[in-house]
Amino acid sequence: MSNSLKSRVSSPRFWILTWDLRLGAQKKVRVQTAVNVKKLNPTAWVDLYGDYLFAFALSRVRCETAAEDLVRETLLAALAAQDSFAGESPEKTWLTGILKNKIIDYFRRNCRQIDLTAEEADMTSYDYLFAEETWKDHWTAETMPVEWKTTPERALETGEFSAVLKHCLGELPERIASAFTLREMDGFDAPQICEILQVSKDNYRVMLHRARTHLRRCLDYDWFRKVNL
Amino acid sequence: MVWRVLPGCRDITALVSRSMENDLSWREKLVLKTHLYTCIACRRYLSQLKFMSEVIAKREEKLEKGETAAPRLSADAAERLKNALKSSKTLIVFVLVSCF
Repeated sequence: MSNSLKSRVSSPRFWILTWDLRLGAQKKVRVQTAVNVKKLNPTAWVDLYGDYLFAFALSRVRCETAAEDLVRETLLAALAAQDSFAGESPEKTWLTGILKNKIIDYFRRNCRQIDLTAEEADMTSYDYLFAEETWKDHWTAETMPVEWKTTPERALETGEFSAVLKHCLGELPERIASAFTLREMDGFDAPQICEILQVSKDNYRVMLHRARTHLRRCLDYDWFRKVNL
Repeated sequence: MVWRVLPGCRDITALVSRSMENDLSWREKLVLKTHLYTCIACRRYLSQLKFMSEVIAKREEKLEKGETAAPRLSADAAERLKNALKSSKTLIVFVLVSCF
């Protein structure tokens, strides 16, 4: 064997390529991903994932400045931790994972308070939904839930619904929204959320109940009652 | 929670919220089931809480796939982020170079 051929053949990448090509075309894809596994592309991060990461953060922290700060922290942390990227997941998923942890740290910093504030625990604004006499504490005929004649998929097809949903979520007090977000958007369970927000289990239940009551009432009145007309 | 009388819809809605987390004792489950059997308003309430849960999950899915008109970074914000990345990389290179 000539020297040049010897050096080519001994490089492992070349071997993998030839072995898989012999097995057939379907293996070619696997080879290409295996070759690219460790390549991150930081210069393209803002263009490729900036909008997505920003939208992800914004739907959770509800403040544009905070969302931008979180995205910047994420990208800088990712830049510093490039070597730990093992290539098991796509770049976007890896970056999102870092962002999720940054968001949890943000909630930990901003939402620490053992007891619920008076505003958070206050359910009196929903008193009007329930009767005071006769059928005390039951729905009244005017305020009972109306039928929501659609499916989640169809509802999301209209931009207006998404806007109303975002507005309704925005009306919640900060900690209540955080608890609801962690539960519904990120799927954390009760012990995890209680640890992040430093609340007791009872308070956590109250926070979720408050969030759901408000959100449901808001959607019922600001969307479905109007759409059903 | 043990009530001396059966709870009204107001307290049932609190139970419905907890049922979304499977957080009920068997007594509470029984009370809830019995109430829902006869109260269409609270049945709707439960289905609406489930609807909201689904709609939020689907919204996240659509965001992940890039199908929604999601809020985008402003051009200024994108510039700021790119600059932050660049200056961070320059710092790393500078530190490395100054080591040799």
